[in-house]
Amino acid sequence: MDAILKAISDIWNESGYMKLFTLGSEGSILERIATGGAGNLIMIVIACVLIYLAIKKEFEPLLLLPIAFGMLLVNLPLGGVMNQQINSLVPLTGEELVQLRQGILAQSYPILEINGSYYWQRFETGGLLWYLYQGVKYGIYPPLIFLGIGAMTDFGPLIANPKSFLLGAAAQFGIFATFFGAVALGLTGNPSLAFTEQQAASIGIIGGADGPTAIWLTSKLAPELLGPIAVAAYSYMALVPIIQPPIMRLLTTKKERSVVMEQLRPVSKTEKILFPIFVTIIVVLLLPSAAPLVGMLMLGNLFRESGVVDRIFRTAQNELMNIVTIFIGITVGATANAATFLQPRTLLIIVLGLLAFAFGTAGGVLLGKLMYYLTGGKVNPLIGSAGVSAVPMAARVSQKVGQQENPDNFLLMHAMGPNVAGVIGSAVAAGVLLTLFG
Amino acid sequence: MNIALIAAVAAGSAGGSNVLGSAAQVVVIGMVVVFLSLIALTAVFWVFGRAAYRKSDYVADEEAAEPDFQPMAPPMEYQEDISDEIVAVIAAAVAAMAPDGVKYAVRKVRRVRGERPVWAAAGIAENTRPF
Repeated sequence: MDAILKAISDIWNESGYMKLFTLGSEGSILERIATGGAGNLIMIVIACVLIYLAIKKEFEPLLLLPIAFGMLLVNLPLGGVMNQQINSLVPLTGEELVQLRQGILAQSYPILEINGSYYWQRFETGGLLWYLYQGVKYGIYPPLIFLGIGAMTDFGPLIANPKSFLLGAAAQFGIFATFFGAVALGLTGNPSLAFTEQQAASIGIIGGADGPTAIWLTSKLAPELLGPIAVAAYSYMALVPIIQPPIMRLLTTKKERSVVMEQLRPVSKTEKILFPIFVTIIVVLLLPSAAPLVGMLMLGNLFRESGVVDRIFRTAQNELMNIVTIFIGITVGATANAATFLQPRTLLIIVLGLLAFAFGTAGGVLLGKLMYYLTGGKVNPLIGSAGVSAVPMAARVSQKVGQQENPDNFLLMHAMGPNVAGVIGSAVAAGVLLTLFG
Repeated sequence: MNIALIAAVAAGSAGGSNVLGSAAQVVVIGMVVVFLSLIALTAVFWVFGRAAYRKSDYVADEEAAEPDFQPMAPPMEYQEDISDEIVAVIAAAVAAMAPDGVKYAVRKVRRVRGERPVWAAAGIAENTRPF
């Protein structure tokens, strides 16, 4: 009977349940919580809240659901889904060398001789999500998602009204303003508030309101912040209808919000085909580091507009996009383990991300106001807020706020121009930051 | 454009100690490059749009296209107790089933009394198709 009880006790003690109620061995109580099983427990609760928000509130569920589930999986102790593959050479100890020469050494790994020295050739298979994560680490998934976005996007409103490009540029102000703010926090003298330039750039890119771009840049500049930044970026993209309208109303008058814009001109098929080719050449020549994002975005769009590769076009916008979305979501979520996520900095990143969104929205609206004055009242400044990417949510917000002033006003197509220009703009901004700090 | 070189010069001119100054320069450089890229695109597509699109051509095209929208004759006959929506759905279903390049016209719509309700018949047809 004792043996059975002991066996059950051993199983319990070695289970993930037991591990959940432990603390780390070093540092302050907060650090001990973060590095121990208790931190995993908190992360499991956060993951469940995110799953609830994705399913019940439909906050960007296509991404938030896999992200939250990845977060859940990686925080279940002993699961090992993000364990790194180990492939290293470990020198044999003196005792092991003696045993080797006597022929009695139990060989748990192959032994390799290099220049007369003996090494264990240690190899351990990594966890499933660690292998999938390589697509994030090497910047493969975000450009593939851009391929799908390009295939889904109609750049017609932007071609019909090229001035929209400028609104897409102005809305990138949030990225750089937040970068400045994050660097400035380092001057407070508090080490927990200090960010490196690479980290500050990665936090700033949240203001681009473009998840793949944020992941792409962060994976290259500050991979240790990938979890908090991805969660912040996608959370704020889902909250665009709540964050943007107060800023839009604050910066515009009722008269400006009521402007009815002229109908856009029709765009020919030739223009639509030439658009991705021209954008690729112009942007990549100017900013080579933006080539993966801009190039794939425009390739996807060329698939769409050429009309001759229907099968590839459908695959890019459906199957490929969906597969990569699963991989990127679950692996980015899996980077949010307790030790890296449960830090005071995470809260700071979330606050800075909100500021980035707010500044980006303000930048777009203020340039919209300038255009309103320069054109004698022909441009509705509300379309400027759509310059933060978040396609098509930000454009819908412009439409909704405009219709609150004038129910007969339809700004949606006008706002789609700055909206898709914002995708190009945030890719260019990411390219600039990578060039400066990569 | 060698942005890294510009940034290095900018950082050097800030003396390395002026962190905020360097950060401000990054903000300026970043916004300038983003605006330059998108202004270049604006200019290219503005010129392209002016060349490819003339409003007068479009209006002329629209006017020329008008004769295509002549009403079809003779008018369709259908029982008065069948609503316009039902007729539209039937016409759409016929159009959807027609092979490419073949056009059908719905001339007459009348209710047929069958022994079995039409939805039941459709259900049976669906369930028995594999056999």
